[in-house]
Parts: sequence; structure tokens; C-alpha cells
Amino acid sequence: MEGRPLEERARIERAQGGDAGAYETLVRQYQDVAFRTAYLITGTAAEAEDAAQEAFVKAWYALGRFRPNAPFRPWLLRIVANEARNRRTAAGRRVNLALRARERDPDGDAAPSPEAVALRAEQRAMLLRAINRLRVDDRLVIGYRYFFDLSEAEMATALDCARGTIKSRLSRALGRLRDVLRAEDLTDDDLRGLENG
Amino acid sequence: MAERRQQFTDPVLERALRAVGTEVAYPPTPEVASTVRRRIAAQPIRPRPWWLPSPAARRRLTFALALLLVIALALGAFPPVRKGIARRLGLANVEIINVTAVPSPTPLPTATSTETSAASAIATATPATPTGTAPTMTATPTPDTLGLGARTTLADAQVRVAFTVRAPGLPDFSTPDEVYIGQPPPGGRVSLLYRVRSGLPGIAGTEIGLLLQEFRGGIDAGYFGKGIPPGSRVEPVTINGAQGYWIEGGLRFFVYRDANGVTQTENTRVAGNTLLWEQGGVVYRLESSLPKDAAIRIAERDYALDAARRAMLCL
Repeated sequence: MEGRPLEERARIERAQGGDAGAYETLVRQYQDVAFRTAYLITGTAAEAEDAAQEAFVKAWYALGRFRPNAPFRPWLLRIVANEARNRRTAAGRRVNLALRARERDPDGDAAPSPEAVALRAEQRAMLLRAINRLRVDDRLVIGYRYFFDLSEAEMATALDCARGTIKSRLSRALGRLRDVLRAEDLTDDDLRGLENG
Repeated sequence: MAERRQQFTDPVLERALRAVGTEVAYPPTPEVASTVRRRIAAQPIRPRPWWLPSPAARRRLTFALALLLVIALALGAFPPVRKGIARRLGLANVEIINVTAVPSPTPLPTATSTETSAASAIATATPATPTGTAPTMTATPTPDTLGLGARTTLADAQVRVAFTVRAPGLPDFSTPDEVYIGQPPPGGRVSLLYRVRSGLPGIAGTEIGLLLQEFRGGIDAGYFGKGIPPGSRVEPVTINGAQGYWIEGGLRFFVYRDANGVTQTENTRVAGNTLLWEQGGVVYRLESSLPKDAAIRIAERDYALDAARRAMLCL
């Protein structure tokens, strides 16, 4: 893992020199997070795919402005999010995001009771429904922080804002999520159940 | 109890979000890499030309230049450093200052014949274009309204100031049309005025063809400065072996410090092209609409001659 950033930097520098093969490896490395970020914004897989693809192409042509020793992921995500927002705006319709939880593989867990599994599934679904109901900005800030595990510095780059504002943006997003959760009659215990699930 | 259970504190929310984040059923990620590869292959990045530094090198260069600029500005902010630089340039008593705004012209007092009242008058500059075209002010300055001081003769002026008054050595300029003596600065300021004539066009539409002013910049701390608005051109020149400056266009006012170290502003007289130099502790300011070479020729010939003595001989 120690050598990974250096290796990535080398690929970025090669890509900046016009090596499309090196760039393709970067696309493969980041296409998951790019597509998922776009999906959080657009709400449809087709739009998210188009946005991600367009963003990777634009990033290729913008590589000359990228500093090789800067983190690539947030720089890329900023382009992805812009592209996804543009598509969402151009579509002129509000597609409701429908985040769902994966079906769990029962063999992977320490044999919880069927009731416990069903309960946690319901709690997960309620939390995701609450997230679905948030505004795009709030969803994105929560997604970056808790789903994709971006640092505050990375979030500042990805959201194109001052690092000092990240905490307050996150706090406001959590506040609005809290309001939705209360309306959904969820409890702290429900959420604690998720942690252990 | 219900209220407590529904607080959703940040730590609780954060842990739940992290947990659920690993379990989101995103749609399967489509294979975009190969499509992107095809698309960029159709329009490859043009390789960077050999002469263009890399983005990193450009950033380093920009940073270095910015740092130099900051250091230069910081050094320039200290009067002792500024003065030291000016002294190295041979202009101990002259300071050239760039300004972003110029004071608006002030109404002229009526010229008086007494030195005291004339000395306190602030002259109004005629805003002039760099090429010295027609003035935009309604009142065109005349020798009487420039606040040059009291009308006198070369011989009289020489008696009343502590430095040697010198006139250009070129025959056409050895005898000024008018001589004035006034203040500031303390110690006196002598103005030699030449009216428009053949080969000597008026400055900014006035009847004044050339104005040469001579004064001391103060004993120790005092020094003169020039306010030069953006757009004016300043070029270092050598006059009689001394460092000088050619300032073309838009000169509006003086900034100087008197003998008490107080910064003062005074509008320039006719706002023409200016040749500024210092020689033997005296600052010379020559304003005209002449081009640089002609102005330098006038400035360079002479100053070995004692104008006052020559004036007395003429008498």
C-alpha cells in the first residue's frame, strides 16, 4: 500500500504526457466511485453512466491542469458531480433516488435470528429512504463522507469549497437527515441496531 | 424516554451511516473505461511543446515571481531601504512613486505678486493626455495662474536662494522668458519659463513651451517624489553623468517630504513630459511637450555655466 500513491502518480504523469493506456487504468480504478457519485445525484443508472463517461473524457482533456502530487479522486469527483448535476438540470425532472440495501448473504453472518435480520433490513431501508428524501447537496456531502470515506480536505476539493466550510455543511446535512428520521419515527436504538448488524 | 431515544446525536448518526453505506445496492457499475479509451483515442492530447514548462514548473515559476514581488514590495515599504536604493541610483532626494489614484485638480487662486501668498498657493495641473493633446480643463493654465511664485529676474533669484541657479546652455534657452521664485520647499524654488515659439510647442495647449524648476530637496530627511499614475512611462536616463528619469505622459502631481519629514502633495504645473534629475544636491524638473532626446539635449548642455552671472553680464 505504501507504494500505491507513487505508482498512481506515475500513471497520472504518463497520462498527462498523452498515454491513453495509463489513463484507462485510472478510469478502471475510479469508475466505481465515479458512477456511484453520479448515481447519488442523477438517481438513474443510465444518466449516471453517461455522466461518469463524459466526466472521464473531460478529465482527460483537463489533465494538464491537474497537479500530479494532488489527490486524484476528489479532483475527478468534482468533474463527475458537475457533469451529473448538469444532466439532472437538463433533464428538467426530479428523479427520486431509490437507494436500497443489498440483500444479505445469510451465510456471512453469525446466524442471527430471522426476526433480527428482518428488523435490521427494515431499519436500513428506513435510513436509506430518509437519505433518498434529502436534497442533492446534502446527499452528496453525506455520501462523500460516510459512503466513500473522503477526508475533509478531499471533500473540499470535490465540492469546490473552502475546507473550513466542510464541517458546517456536513452538520447541516445531518440536521436535515435528523428531521427526516424523526418524521419517519425511527429511534436511536434502530440506528444502533444498524451498527451491529 | 422517547425524546432521549430520538435524539440522533452525531456519533449515532455517523456510525449508522457508515454501516449502511457499505450495504447500499448501487446499480452495477457499467464498463466505462473502454468507451472512454475509444473516445479519447479519437482526439489525443497534443504533447506539450518543448519550450513550454510543465504545469508544475510553471507553478513553481509563478510562486517564485510572486515571492520576489512580495519581497520587493516589503523592502520598498521601508523608507530607509527606499532611500538607500534611491541613493544608489544617484537620486538621494528624489523618490518616484506609482499611485493608483490621482487627486482631483483644485481650483486655482488668483496669482499674486507677493512671494508669500504665491508660495502657499497650490497650483492646478492641467490633466493632459500622454501625447500632450488639448487640455480637458476649462481654464488653461497661464504663467500667472500656475502658482510659480513671484516674478523676478535671474539675478534676483540667485541672490535669494542658497543654491546656484542654472539655465540651459543652448543659446535658445540661456535666457528664460520669465523667472519666478517661490516656495515650497523651504530654501526656495526657482522656475524658468519659456513661452511657445518656433520649435517649442505649448505644453498641453498652454502658452508655455518649457518649464524648468530647480530646488533643494531638503537638508537631510527631506526629499521629493513624483506621483506617476498608471499608464505613464518611466525610463532611467543619464544627465550630465547623473541618474535621471524621463517620465512620459500623465504626470499629475508631486509627492514630497518637507524638511520636517511631512509628506506633502502638490499638483504639477503643466503636466507635460518630464525630465527629472539631480545634480549637486539640486533637483531639476524640466517639463515640456518635447520628445525625450530634445529634452535631454537641453538638460545636458549648460549646467557648467552660471546662469545668474551670465544674466548679470547681459544686464
